[in-house]
Amino acid sequence: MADLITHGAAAILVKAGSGWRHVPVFVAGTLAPDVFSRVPAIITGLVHVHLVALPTQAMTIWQPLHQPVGMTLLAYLLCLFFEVSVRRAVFWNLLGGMAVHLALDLLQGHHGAGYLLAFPFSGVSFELDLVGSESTVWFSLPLALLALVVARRRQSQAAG
Amino acid sequence: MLLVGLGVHFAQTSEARDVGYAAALRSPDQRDGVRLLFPLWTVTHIRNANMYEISKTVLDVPVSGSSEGLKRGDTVTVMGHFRASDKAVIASQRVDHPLRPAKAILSILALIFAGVLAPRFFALTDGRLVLRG
Repeated sequence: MADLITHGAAAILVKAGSGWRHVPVFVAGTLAPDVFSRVPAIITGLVHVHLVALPTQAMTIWQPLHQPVGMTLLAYLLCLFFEVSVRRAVFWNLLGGMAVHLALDLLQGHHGAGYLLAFPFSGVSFELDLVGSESTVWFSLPLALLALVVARRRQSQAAG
Repeated sequence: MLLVGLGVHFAQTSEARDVGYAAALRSPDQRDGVRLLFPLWTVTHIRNANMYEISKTVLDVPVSGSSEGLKRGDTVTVMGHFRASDKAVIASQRVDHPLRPAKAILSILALIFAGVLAPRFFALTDGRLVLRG
């Protein structure tokens, strides 16, 4: 996973170039895979390593929420919390944000431990291995500033 | 239900796969020399200059390889081979991840920022989320 500032900034820039509607939902969608998959896996992992041994499942059960099939189900589940009139738009924007998230993560390399894109239909992993897993740290803040400038410009265009 | 089922299926599939260090421990003699990969594991003990331990899903996996520059809590990726005699991993390559804490801090900042801004864009009305603006 790239850091979440990079993910959020990338989502804003993608949205700025493709229509400025439901941006917060799109950004929420791009944060969701890590919030619902990586965060609980990291927390249970820290507990397992530093406090008390947990069953392996406690750390691995979250992984499908960072894979296309799980993301689609997650987007559907989350859109059910919204009022009926916006559910369709919320679903597609959440899913779009998740797709941007996955596309960014796929650029990374983990020395062969890639992403299971077709789980549960296939166990084959994939990643493009173009950048290291921490490479985004160096450009996350400049990217966030750029996203902020672009967002303000698009917001004022939308208002005017 | 589908999401929970998918998660349980993934956990069971991961455990049943006959690869990795856990599989090597189940049948060490058959797995002697097998190639292993430990992406982003935590250093939990430094035994000496040539032996350290890493943890993630499995705790305290002994790694035979230089521990130079390592300290407890560091994140490393280790590639190596399983040695059945002492159940250790003979490291052929080690990649350090010194920027891992910075990446975690950036992600935590993003989550705090998102949490602070969320009420500006989402509201709760009659038990349903409503888009604002």
